[in-house]
Amino acid sequence: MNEISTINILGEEFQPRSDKTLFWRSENCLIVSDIHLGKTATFRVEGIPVPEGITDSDLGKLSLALIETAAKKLIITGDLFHSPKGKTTFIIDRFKRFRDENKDIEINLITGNHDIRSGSLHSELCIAETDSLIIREKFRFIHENDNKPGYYNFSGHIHPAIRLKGKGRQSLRLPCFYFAKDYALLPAFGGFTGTAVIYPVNDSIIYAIADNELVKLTS
Amino acid sequence: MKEFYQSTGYKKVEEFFLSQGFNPHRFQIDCWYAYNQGLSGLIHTATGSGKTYAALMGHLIEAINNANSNKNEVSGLKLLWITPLRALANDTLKTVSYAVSQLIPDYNVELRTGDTSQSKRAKQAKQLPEIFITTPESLSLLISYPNFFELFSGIKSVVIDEWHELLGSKRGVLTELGLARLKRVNPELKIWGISATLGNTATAMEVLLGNKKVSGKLIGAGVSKNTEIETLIPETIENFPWAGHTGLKMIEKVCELIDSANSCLVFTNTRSQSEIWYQAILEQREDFAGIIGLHHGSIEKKERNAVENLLSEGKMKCVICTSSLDLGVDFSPVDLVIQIGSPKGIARLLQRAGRSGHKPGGVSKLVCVPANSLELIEFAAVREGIMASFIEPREPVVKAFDVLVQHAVTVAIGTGFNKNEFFNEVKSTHCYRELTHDEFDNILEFVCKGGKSLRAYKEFAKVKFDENFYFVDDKQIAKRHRMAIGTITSEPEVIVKYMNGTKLGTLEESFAARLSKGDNFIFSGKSLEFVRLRDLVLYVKKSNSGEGPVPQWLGGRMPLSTMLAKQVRERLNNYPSENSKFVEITAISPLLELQKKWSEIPSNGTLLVERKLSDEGMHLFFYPFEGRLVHEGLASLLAYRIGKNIPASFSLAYDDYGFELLTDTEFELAPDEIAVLFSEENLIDDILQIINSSEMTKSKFRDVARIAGLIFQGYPGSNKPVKQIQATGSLFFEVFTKYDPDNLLLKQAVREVLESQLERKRMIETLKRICKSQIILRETKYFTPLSFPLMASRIREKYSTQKVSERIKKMQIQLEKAVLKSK
Repeated sequence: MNEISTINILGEEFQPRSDKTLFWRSENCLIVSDIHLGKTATFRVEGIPVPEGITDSDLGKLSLALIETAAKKLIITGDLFHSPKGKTTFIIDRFKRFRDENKDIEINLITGNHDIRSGSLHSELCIAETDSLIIREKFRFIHENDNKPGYYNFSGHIHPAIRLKGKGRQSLRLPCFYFAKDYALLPAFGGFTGTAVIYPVNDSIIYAIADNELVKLTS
Repeated sequence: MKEFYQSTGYKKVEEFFLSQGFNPHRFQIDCWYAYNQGLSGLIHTATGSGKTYAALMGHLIEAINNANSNKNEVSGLKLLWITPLRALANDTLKTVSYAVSQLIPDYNVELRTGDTSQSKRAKQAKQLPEIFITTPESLSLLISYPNFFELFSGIKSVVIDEWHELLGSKRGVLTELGLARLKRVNPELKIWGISATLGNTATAMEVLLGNKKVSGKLIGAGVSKNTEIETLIPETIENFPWAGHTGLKMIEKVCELIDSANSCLVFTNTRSQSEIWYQAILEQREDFAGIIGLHHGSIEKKERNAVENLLSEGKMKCVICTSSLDLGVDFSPVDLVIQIGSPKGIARLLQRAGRSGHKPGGVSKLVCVPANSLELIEFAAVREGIMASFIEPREPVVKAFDVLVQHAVTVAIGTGFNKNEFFNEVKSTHCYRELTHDEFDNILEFVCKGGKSLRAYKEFAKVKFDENFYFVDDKQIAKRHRMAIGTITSEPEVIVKYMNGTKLGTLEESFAARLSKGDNFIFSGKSLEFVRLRDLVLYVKKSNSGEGPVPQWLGGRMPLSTMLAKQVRERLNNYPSENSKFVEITAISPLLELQKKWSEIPSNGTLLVERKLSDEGMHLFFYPFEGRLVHEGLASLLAYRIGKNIPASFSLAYDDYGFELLTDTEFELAPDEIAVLFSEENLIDDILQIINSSEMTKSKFRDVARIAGLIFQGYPGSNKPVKQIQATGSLFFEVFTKYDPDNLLLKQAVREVLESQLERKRMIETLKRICKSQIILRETKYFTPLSFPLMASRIREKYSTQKVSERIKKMQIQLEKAVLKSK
């Protein structure tokens, strides 16, 4: 395990983890974004052959993160499921199994653009779903960042990555956490998701994820 | 019975020729005779010598002769004409239509390319004209129609134009599969190819005709075109050439040459170079404004067409271009071709030379301009190669699974197929003649079930089957597949537009991403200012600065061909005995003398290795003279093999002459130890190790995945939500590597890296040659003329371009001083 990184936001300690989850200790809460369950299934249904395997891997990783942090609460900042076509019985079964294994966890889903299309199953799965969530009056969770004033906004949606340049014309593109002064962008958790390169503004803190390690960068 | 030459058709065609003011050539008559006997064949010749009519008239003669006996014959397609380029299709349409209007006025001649309008396509989907001109991709599209057999039921013959351009590529494979399908419609189908002269014309014909049942005739046009090739010798020879040079030092002389010509083409090897030269010429000669043009693959098509038209009307003094003008269209006014930088291949230079004097019996005139002094040797080598009639072969592609996957779905969407019949059809092509039943079953499994392991591909269905019959009944799948047909792959590109929406062309995303608001750059021969970048569209406005970077485009850089590499080695080996024969060699003698003094001139039967210590560490330079790709492979191989025994990390550089290993660990290496490093033993295992640890397979996989239909680029002009099923090549690569490592497409990507990226065959040949050679190891005090460009290229990879050129300039000064001292 690498060292624990923490970042202080408005007096609270947040812990970005190399598994692309964010842990909020004083709330005992794990935050994760853009899982896109059933994305490979969507491809298959549409006639594009992509093997299965990601679902088990993603849900396994998430269970492990819950165990490691002993979190009691899980906030998903959107895009739990990828599309209606991808919500096959197989995928639903797997998610139900995950829910059973983590019965005691309170799950809050912030509705993402993909969730709107995918339709709701969430009461059956004991998931509370809202468009946004505010905790302790100043921390707000939303799928797509809208920079709402008066809050520190946590969001996902864009699957942020950072481009690093090195010697020998090397260029690396790494998924990252991005903490600006009044908002944070979370990396996409799902194993079959792409990334979009972001260009940092001054005074932001970035945690890039390189082969299961966090690399802290400041702009 | 009347003799063939007495037939109505033959006489009419002969009269047509006479009315145009010339007699048919011998080779044309040979073609018509062969066609009349029911034969297929390949016509190979220099450009501009009547190939189109050679291939066309056989069919027309037959049609005229049969007109009386076959009154009831159905209308519709008779002759299919396949051409690799849309630009060429228009030109062919003109030539063919004219002859047909004179000979068989009832015949319709039409074309169809990606540019053809929807309504015309819809009409064509019901009935095709008698003569139909199209591209391999459009043929594939027609195969995907359920009425394919009806559409083509009357087909008598096919002409494949510029076959050399298709051969050796996956588009060639697509053509082979299309022809096999057409032969199912008409087993008597006559297939005629037209090709530039290749080193392996017989193979080229074999690939074209497929299985041996068809007998073919190889017809070489006896009209030999005169080619005059000269080299422009620089006034001063730099002893330390740098591959990054653009040759601009020669600009005055080049402008004089342009002046002396009626109309001329200036070929550069890269798109960036063409932009740079265009700017430089305009700066040098303001009076050329408006009469010189720029032409390369990333410039908007309209703009390119305009330049082409002006050129053929004789209104262009000069066009700076890349391989984009290598092919096809007649530019009769052109009487001079200038080649900037080495062409890297004999056939390519010949082809370009043929762009001037583009009329039967005309003289091709070409002037070579070296971009750096070492290229003088390459020009001497290429001239000798041409004199000795050495021309590179084009190796056909074998067993491209991705293309077969695409084709199988195409056919399933169209008429559907019976498993055994389709197997035989595919196997009748050259590409898949060694296809096994197992491999074929794998392909079917892939399109029906997604892959081998059932669990991994639940819910997947693309092609369905009922016993032995395979078909697609999902309209969405069919639609998406039709959009994706084709084998040309491209990098994600950014469209460049003025604010008013006028398109200028395309750039690579990586270049656009580096610009920000207000930045100036040069593109499409214009000075532009960045306004904004949104959704892969870069908005610009005109700028007056005339400054800024020129975009770089990846790819397209060819390695020195095997044949030319051999010629280069010969020139060095024979030094100085050929000084009187080649002005180029005389000119470069000072550089070679210096190389001899400080090290050695490479000769046959030896491999020169230089070892040099510097502040940076230990440099090892090897000079096999086998082209960049082989050197890239060899450099990795040696680094890997040395690294097994000595813990060291290397920085690698390679060019067409050799490669460099640089390490901060200093160690001794005896000649016999070096020889062992080049051993063939464990070669494939070692290479696979290298491949696995590099990015090569990943980037190759993107192409394979796109051809096989995994990567879907969306419907053009539609904003349907396809994002849900879009993913990048590297994402697919990761998932396949993890969850289906035996996947067909993954295996193919590895094979393609081996064959085309690392040129496995050529690498093995090289290793064999080196094993028989004596290793000559020289400790050098200075960087030699041969090692300098390698060292320079490595630095270029480390720093940004501008600083680099400055730093390199500085180094050149230092080195020049060293020469003076040692004198």
